[in-house]
Amino acid sequence: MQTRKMAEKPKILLVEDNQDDKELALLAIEFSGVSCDVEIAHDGAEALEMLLGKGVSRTVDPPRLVILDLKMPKVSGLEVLQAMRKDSRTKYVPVVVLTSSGEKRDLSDAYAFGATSYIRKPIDLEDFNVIMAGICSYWLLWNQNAPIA
Amino acid sequence: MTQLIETANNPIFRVDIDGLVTIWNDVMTDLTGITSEEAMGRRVIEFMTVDSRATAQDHLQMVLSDMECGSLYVKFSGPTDDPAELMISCTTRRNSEGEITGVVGVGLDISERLRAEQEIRTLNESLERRVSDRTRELQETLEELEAFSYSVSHDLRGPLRSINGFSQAVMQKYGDRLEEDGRSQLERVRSATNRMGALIDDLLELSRVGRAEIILDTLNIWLMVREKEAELRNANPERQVDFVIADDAVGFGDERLIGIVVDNLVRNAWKFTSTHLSARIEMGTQDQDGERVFFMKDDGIGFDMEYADKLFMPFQRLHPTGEFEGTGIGLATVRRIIQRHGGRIWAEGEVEKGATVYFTLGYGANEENG
Repeated sequence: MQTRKMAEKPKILLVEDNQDDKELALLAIEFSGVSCDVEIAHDGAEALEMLLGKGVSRTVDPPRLVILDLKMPKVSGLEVLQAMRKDSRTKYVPVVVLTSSGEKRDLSDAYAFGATSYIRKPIDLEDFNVIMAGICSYWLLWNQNAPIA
Repeated sequence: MTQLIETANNPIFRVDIDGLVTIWNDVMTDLTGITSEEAMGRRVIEFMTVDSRATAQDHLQMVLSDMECGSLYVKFSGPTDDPAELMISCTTRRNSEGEITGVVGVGLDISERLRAEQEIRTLNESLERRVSDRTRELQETLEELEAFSYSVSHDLRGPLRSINGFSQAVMQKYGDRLEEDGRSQLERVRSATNRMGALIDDLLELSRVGRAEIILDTLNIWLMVREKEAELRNANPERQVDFVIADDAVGFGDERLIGIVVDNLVRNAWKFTSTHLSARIEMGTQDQDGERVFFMKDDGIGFDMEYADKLFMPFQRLHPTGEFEGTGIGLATVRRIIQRHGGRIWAEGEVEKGATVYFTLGYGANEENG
């Protein structure tokens, strides 16, 4: 077991392949005022490598929260989610999925695979800020004392 | 007797107990092309088509054994390729001792009737096939259209998010370096993207209600209206609006979809009475030729009946966007839902007097729930 340094900012992993959507999500996190460090994976494969790759030591903290786009080429968000839930390092990390359509089937699939929340990317950035503020602070707080594998 | 047979209008023949022809009238000749001379003394079944012979032989045997038999359907080889199709009633002939000496067959030429029946059958089949082909084509077109509007709506949201998001980012980060009109222009970019976002969402909803599965249930439509009323009063407490809601407004329908109908109709009534100091919104039912008709009536700005048919078309707005908010898709969605319930929807109105929207939920909906 390792004790977390409380002064350290919590780490969020943002997985998003679309350049604009990635910047918008970063803006929303910035404007939401949530204090955190954001790491970025540009697609599903990179996310898997960063979370579960061979180079990832078991003593390294997993991110406190993963924000995961569902629609990505090659390795989809659902596949990343599935792999995360199978691995002891990331089994309990909260995952907020990002969807563009808000289609019920996408959401029910995401929940079936172990998503904790979803955000339907809103048109208005201000709405995105508010949602991001609520969701990020909630799950970061929820995961504050998570045991580290 | 023989004279009678010769001059009859029906095909008639007679055979002895061995099935050999002893009488063959002119009508038989006309139908088969075989003369009486040719037929005499030959087995009658020889003149029939191969597929008729076994049945005819059996039938003849039964008649000769004095058994009760109904009519016999046989085909005689005709003078052309078309066989003559006859319905034959057989009667035994007896001698003075009562012994059976032969059989008289009186036929009815049903070739024409059968041909007509076949023609009707073929026509019916081809009509059914055409209807089912057309229905399938329509269904496919509809599905394609819905899939298309879904994917377009879906893909349109992405760029819109970028336009909105980055113009707001500019506003937040560099807003203080802009002149007032620069800021106001950015604000207009934002409000335009939000309007288009609402449009896309409404289109998505229209596409969704077209595809949604319908689960019928008893619905307290009056209660749904009450809830919407409470919501609107809460949002605009300053408005003076009387709601009159008949508590017999109960029907069968899909709860979520009819919820969308109620939402649209009540909001419309609320919106289009907003320019009047006080207003009255009524929800009720009436009986029309045994069919239950629901109505939502307001005394708002109304509309010109000349445009009544445009009301339920997507993107059709009868009032300028600046005056009343809206995408012009709401009533198209409402109509689609009502149609999917097998019901009808129509509206009546008069400028500055108000509007009434009528709808039914379809007979099917009532029957399915007994």
